[in-house]
Order: sequence, then C-alpha cells, then structure tokens
Amino acid sequence: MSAHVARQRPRTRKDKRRKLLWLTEAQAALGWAVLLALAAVLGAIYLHQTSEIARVGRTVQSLQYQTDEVKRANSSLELDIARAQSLPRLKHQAEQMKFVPAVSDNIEYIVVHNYPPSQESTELIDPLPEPVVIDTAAEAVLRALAARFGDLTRGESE
Amino acid sequence: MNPSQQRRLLVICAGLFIAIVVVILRMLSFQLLSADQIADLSRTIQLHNVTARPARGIIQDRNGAVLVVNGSDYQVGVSPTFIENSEEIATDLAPILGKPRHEILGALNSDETFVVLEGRVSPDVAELIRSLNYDQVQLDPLPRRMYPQGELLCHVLGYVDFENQGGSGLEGYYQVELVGVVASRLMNISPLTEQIGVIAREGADLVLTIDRTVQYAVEEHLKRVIEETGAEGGTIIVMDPRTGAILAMASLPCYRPYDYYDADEELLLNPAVSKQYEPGSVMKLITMAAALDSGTVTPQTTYEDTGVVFVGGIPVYNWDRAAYGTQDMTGLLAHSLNVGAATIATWMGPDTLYNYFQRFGYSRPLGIDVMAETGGQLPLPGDANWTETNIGTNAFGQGLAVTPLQMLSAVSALANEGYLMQPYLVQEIHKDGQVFTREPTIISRPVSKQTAYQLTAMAVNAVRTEVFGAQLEGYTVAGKTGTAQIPEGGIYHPSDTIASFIGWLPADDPELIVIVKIDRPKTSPWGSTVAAPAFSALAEDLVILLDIPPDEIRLQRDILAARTNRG
Repeated sequence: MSAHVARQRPRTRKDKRRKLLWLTEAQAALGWAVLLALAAVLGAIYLHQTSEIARVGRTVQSLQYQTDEVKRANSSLELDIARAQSLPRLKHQAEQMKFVPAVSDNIEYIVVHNYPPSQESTELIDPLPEPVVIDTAAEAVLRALAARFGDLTRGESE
Repeated sequence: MNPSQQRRLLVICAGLFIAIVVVILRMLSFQLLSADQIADLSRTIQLHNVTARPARGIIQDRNGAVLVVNGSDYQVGVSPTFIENSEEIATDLAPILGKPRHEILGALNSDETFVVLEGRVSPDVAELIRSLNYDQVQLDPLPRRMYPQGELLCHVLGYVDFENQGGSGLEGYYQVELVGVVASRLMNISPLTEQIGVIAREGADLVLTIDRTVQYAVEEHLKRVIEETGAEGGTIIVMDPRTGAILAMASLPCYRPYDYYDADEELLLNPAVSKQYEPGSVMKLITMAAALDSGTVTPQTTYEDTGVVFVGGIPVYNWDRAAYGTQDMTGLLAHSLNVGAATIATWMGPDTLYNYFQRFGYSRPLGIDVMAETGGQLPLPGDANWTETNIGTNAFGQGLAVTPLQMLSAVSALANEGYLMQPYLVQEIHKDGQVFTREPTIISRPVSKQTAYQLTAMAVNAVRTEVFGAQLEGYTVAGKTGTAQIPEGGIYHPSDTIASFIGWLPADDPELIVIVKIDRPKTSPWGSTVAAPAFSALAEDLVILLDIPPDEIRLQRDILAARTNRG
C-alpha cells in the first residue's frame, strides 16, 4: 500500500509538473497569441490609417486638378463671353439689325419740371373721393338736387 | 553524418558565411560610405516640390466689361515609347503644327522618354489636335493673357510675358497685385505620408476708370483723323478734370498685346505718358495763368504787338510773322500770339515763370498708375541747357518737353478751379473678397479759383472767335490749339509739326477735358485745322455717351439740381 502510495506520489508530482509546464506553455502561447493579435490589429489600423491618408491625399490632389480644370474652363467661358460682347461685334450686330449710331440731332431732351420731385412737392395731398355708384334714376335726381342746394343748408352759396 | 556530408556542410556554411560577410560589408558601405548620397537619392525620389500658381487677376472697365482675362496656350508633347502609329500621327500633326512631316516622325521615333513637338500653340491649334483623339499626344496648358477686345486700350493695358511678368502699362505697374502669391511646398509623395493641398493666393482684379465705350469711340476717331490727315500717329486722352479719372487714353499706332513679341519695341511704350514732345501754343494757357495769378497782368492788360520781340538777343515772331498792334490778354490768347506770350513771360521773370510751371506739374512724373511714366524736360536757370531765350520760347511751348498727359493735367487744373488732380486709371482693386476704392487726390493748387475762371473765360473766347473747328453746337467749349515744331538733330524740322488741341466742356462746369495730339499730319500742319475739328467730332459723341445735355437744357434749374444730386 505504502509502495503503491510511494509510486503514485512521484507520478502525481510529475503530472503536476507536466501540467504546470503545460499551463506555462499554454499561457505563453496565449500571451504570444495576444501579442501577435495586438500587433496584427495595430498593424491593420496603421495600414488602414496610412492608406486612408494616402487615399484622401490623392483625392485632394485629384480635386485640386479638377479645380484647376474648372478654373481653366471658367476662364475660357469668360473669354468667350467677353469676345461675344466686344464692341466691334456688338456694332456689327447692331448694324445688321438696322440700328444707326445716335447723333445729337436724334436726341430730344425732355425737361420734366420738378423731377426728381423736391421735398415740398412730395407732401401727401388729399386723395380723390371714391366714385359713387348710382343705381336708379330717382337716386340720381336726389343726389343732383342735394349737390345743387346742399350749400344752402351749410350756409354757403355761389 | 558521414565525412562527406560534413565536408558538404562545411562548404555550405563557408559559402553562407561569405555571403553574410558580403551583405554586411555592403550594408556597412551603404551606411557609412554612401549614406549621404543614398539619403539624397531617397529624398529626390520621395520629395517633390509642388507649386500652385495663382490665376492672374482680370481687368475690367468701369462698367464691368472684361478687358483682360486668363486663357491658356498649350505645349504639345509625346512619349515616344507609347507611340505605335507614328506614321499616322506625324501625317496628321504636320499640317496643324506647320512642321515638316519627317521632323515630327523623327521625334515620334526617338529614344527619349518625352519629346516636345511644339513649345506653345494657340487654343485653336490645341483644339484641332484634341479633335484628332490621339491619347498619346499630350497637351499641357500654359497660362496666357487673353484680350477679348483685341487691340482696344493696348498701351494702357500693356502686356504680360511668358514668365507671367507684366512688361508695360497696367500689367507692369500692378504686377504685384495682379500676379497673386505662388504657393510652393516640398511634399513627400510616398503613399504612406499625408498629401497636403497647396493653395495659392489668387491675383487681385482691377476695375478701371476707363469707359470701354468711350475708349472705343476715341480710338475710332483717332484712326479716322490719322487716315484723313496722313499723320504718323496720335494720342487722345479724355479725363474728368474734377477727379483726375481717365475715361479714355488712346495712342496709335498700336499693337496686339497677345502678340506683343512681334511688335517693335518702340510701340510697347505708351506715348500718352512715356513720349515727350514740345507742346507749342497750348502752353500759352499755362503762361497766361501764371501771369494772371501772380498779378503780373489782368485780362485787360495790353501790350503793343509789333510782330517780333527779342528775348535773350534772339527774335521771337508770331506764328504768321504778322504784327497785331495793341492787344489785351484775351486777344493774345485768341490769336495765339507768340510775341505776347514771350512779352508777359519776360514781365514775370524766370523765377515766377518756372515756379508756376513746376507747380503745374512739369518736369516730374504725375504719378499715374501706369508703367514707365516720364517727367518731361524743363531746363531751369542755372542748367547747362538753359539760356535767357528759354523764357521767351518756353512761354509758347518751345524749348521744353512734356507728355500729353502732363499737358492735359496742367490745363485740367484751370478747368477745376485751380486744383491739379493726380490722374489715375484704376478705380477699384478687388482682393481677397475686399474692395479697395481709389479716392481722387489733389496734387497741388497752382492757381486760384479766380484765375482759373478768368482763364476759362479767355479760352471760351478763343474758341468762340478763332477756333471755329472746335465748337460744338449747344455747348460752351473752352480750349486752345497748339502747333509745335519738331526738333530733330538740334534743329526744327522744316515742315513737320505736332498739331494739338486741348478743350473742356461744359466750360462753366467741366465734366470732361480732352487732348487731341496728331503727329506729323500731312494735310495741314495746324492744330486749328487738324486737331480742333477732331476734338469737336469726338466731343459730339462723348456728350451723348457721357450723358451731358446741351447748355440750354443743363442750365435749367431743375436739371442742374438733379445732376448735382446725381454727381
């Protein structure tokens, strides 16, 4: 029995040691794995960042190139517009449309007195009375009489 | 392991050892011996100088009409290594580029990585090449100034060379403002580094005081006069005497600013500000102003005109060598008498005379904002080229030299109550979203308001009684003719003259002043028969374009008030 125990004890110790070793190796492996994973993640992040920066940089450059192109096109359009509006061209077109250059004899100056209106003349004057709608002949006669003799009732006369 | 295997292992190990040693030595040589060289090489490959060039500012007239814009010429190039159909390309390009086919074919078949077929072609030629649809033919834009109005305002605008440097006119004077600021940065083009945008500061835009329509009318009139009189050239300037703003400035012959390199160097100068001439009798206005303002004479002062007066021992004659008898100052100006001008100059004496001349801006640039303005020549007492005779001759515009702008500005002081305004061409500068506006600047007040009014009245009388060609129906014109001899090789040319006229209107409240100067007219030498009618014809158009009604309309109280408010 004791021999059996004596035989088992070292086995257990060995097992323990083996188990311990195995645990240590597993922990180490796990540690390494974690480290590698971290490195991989960091590497991936770094690569992503740098490639993203590079991509954005190239986009910026591309947009700058597009801006330059648009500016050039804009200048070209400005030039076309300015050429289309050049005086020799406008003159030619006007002549084709039978326009002739104005000379002083063609110009008649119209003097509009009190224009622009001075401050005094811009004061508000009484508005005209609203026109009255008359529906019947009787009403018209009554109104005419009232207008004719109304002054008498106000103590005024012509 | 048997001995054979051991030997082979030894050989392999030795080989590997040698290889490692070689690698280590090579690495050491890279690190120690060639470190700087390799670092430079690395920088050269990775670092790239990125330059952003700003667009040059555009130039507009006072109403916003575009006078100068940016465009592009193109460089035509190819990379021969990518060319497969060189025969076909050469055949198509030869007539467009105007080059022999074999020359283009030779370039297309060369061993170079890139070949420039044509350094600079116009946009039209580039468009033709583009229409061929050859991807291998590269068209690189090269900035170029474009002038949509053609030759209009050529001397004032000036030109810009292929290095984007303004060479004359406004382009030269406002080079710093127009060109903007180039942005440049040394950038790492490695894909692993951030690419930062390089943005240049754009050039400022200029808005001129020039009215394009007025300028066009002026140039048309100048062309017509030169053709009709067989003159060599001429200059017309239109200015607002109240502010000094130039409304038009034209000189002929002109050049195409786009093709400036084909023009004679002489043509690149702006004669209105860079070329001097003896002004002749127009100068009598200034002499008379000096005499009136200094109290030497009054309009009623008289002198006896015998047809000749000796100044410094040299005789001075009238233009027609006639004697005019007793003349007052108004008569002196109306008949344009040299004898009278020389007489009152001697009455004033050199100190007073030259003091006034200098106050009117002679002998120094006026400071107009255009390139290459010259100050003229005014010999003064004490100078080697001055003699007492100069007092007499200078009084009627001989023996001194001025620019057309100087002459116009001096007379404009008489039209502006005695104030000499600094002439200017740029009304506004638009820069970085801000607008900088130019305010009129008074240079000096050479004469009093009273003197200016007296002179104006005398100049009105001169036009009314003697210079019929300068009159304009419905308007009161003040002015003076000039017929100047041309000094060549120390003597005056026997027949050629410079005919000129300076006039302003409406005389009581001037809105414009004009100088017409015609060089060497063939039909007549006189300012009264060449320049004065040209002034009248031009003024007839200007009063319409600038909305100046005839006196009988303008002087009505209501109209005056309205125009005053508008101004």
